[in-house]
Amino acid sequence: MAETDKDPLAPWRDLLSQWEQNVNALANRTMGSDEYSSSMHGAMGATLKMQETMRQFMATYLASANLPSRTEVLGIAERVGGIEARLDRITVLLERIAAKEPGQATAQPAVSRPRPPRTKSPPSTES
Amino acid sequence: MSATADRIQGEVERAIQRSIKGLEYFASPAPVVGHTPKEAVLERGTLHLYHYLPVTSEIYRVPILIVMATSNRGYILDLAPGQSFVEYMIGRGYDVYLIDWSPPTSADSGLRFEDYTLRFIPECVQRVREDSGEHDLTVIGYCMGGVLSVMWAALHPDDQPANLVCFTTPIDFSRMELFAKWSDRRYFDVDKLVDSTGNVPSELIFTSFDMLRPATRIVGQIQLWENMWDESFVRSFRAFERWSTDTLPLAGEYFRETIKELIWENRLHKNELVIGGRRADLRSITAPLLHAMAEHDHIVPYDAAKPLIGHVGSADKEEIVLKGGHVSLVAGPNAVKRLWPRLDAWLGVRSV
Repeated sequence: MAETDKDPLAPWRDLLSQWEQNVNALANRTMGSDEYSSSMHGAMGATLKMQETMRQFMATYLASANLPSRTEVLGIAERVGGIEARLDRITVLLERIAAKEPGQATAQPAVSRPRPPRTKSPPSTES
Repeated sequence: MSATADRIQGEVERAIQRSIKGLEYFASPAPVVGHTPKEAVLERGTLHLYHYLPVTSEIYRVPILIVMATSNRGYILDLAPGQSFVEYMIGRGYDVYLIDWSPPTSADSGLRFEDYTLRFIPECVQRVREDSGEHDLTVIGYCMGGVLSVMWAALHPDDQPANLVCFTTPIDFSRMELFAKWSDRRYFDVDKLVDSTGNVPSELIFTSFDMLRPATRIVGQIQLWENMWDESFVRSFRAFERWSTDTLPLAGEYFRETIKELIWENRLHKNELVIGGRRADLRSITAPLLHAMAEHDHIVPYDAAKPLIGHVGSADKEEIVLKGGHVSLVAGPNAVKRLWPRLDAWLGVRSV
């Protein structure tokens, strides 16, 4: 009867699991070699060099065309994002102040949501 | 015979369901994560401190401050209803705060260990104290969040947390063998990388994690197809998938220090790490410590994490090694059964 309970796909799953382990082990052995590290960083160094050259070239071109570079646009976007985030925080604080003291504007950020008492004991010591 | 026929019929039905749900899968939006209600308490650029709203009629006296890893989003700890560490902890009566990180901007590229351990975490500790009205607090750090928590505790011998809990926190970086190999100083010019990119791109961080188990992603896709008929599996798979690909860039100087000070020189393990002119002496940590590690952690192997217990000066300290991997230790169905109840049992009696 035990045979009827068997999952017909169990051998396939075992095979898949075995394949995963073998490939991971093989890849880890390969990637753990000096040769791999050397070639990986060689390729990364070449890519970085190429990117740097392109960046310098584009920056020169854009400056000559009186256009902002990507870095400059991203810098402005970050600053605008920062201003928006700060405005959001100020809005939340103002709303909380207004909710607490409707007729009065104070500089105190009132964060006074009612909290449960800090009296809980671990289950074993609870009566 | 009839059981075999039923089984075959079941498989045929699943195959049909796979095709139907497979189409739905590609048409459906990304899974919702981080559902537990929370409010922002503090924001400082890349730093976000959240407070999760309590759900019980009374809570433990000592609040918890969780420090998330800098390379990943905090929603791994609040993945889905029933699979959320935060939801579990607030349900057990803890008052939970979380430090989460957003992608550092170019203005953050100069952030260093000292910014995280002498400015960000102390400021969050202060805000938790003000917000909760309690001086004592438990700090829980996950992976590099654990490393930062350990550094912070070592740098503040006179202001120890009530409890320190670390999840899979590496100390001996020489034992993270593939990472150590890939960042071999003979080949890896970290200065060139950081000087060129400013912040280290998230793609590089993602690829580094992914390359540790190159076949696992392929097998994951096959398992997804096989279980496409099972909605709960698909929901959980998608949430994990979304999180694992949602890696964060790292601040350039912080990455440079991680490579040079931790991986190349292994200074944390040697107890020689100096941050902001102060030595982070692990023996100065005297808070009760729990270190949870995973048996099959391919990112932070047991050998890399185990020295923490031996290094700290705490009299009350314990390590646990549980079945699972780096992520399944803290999130997902196995964590619900293994780590979370163990942590609750350890922490409850120390939180009154």
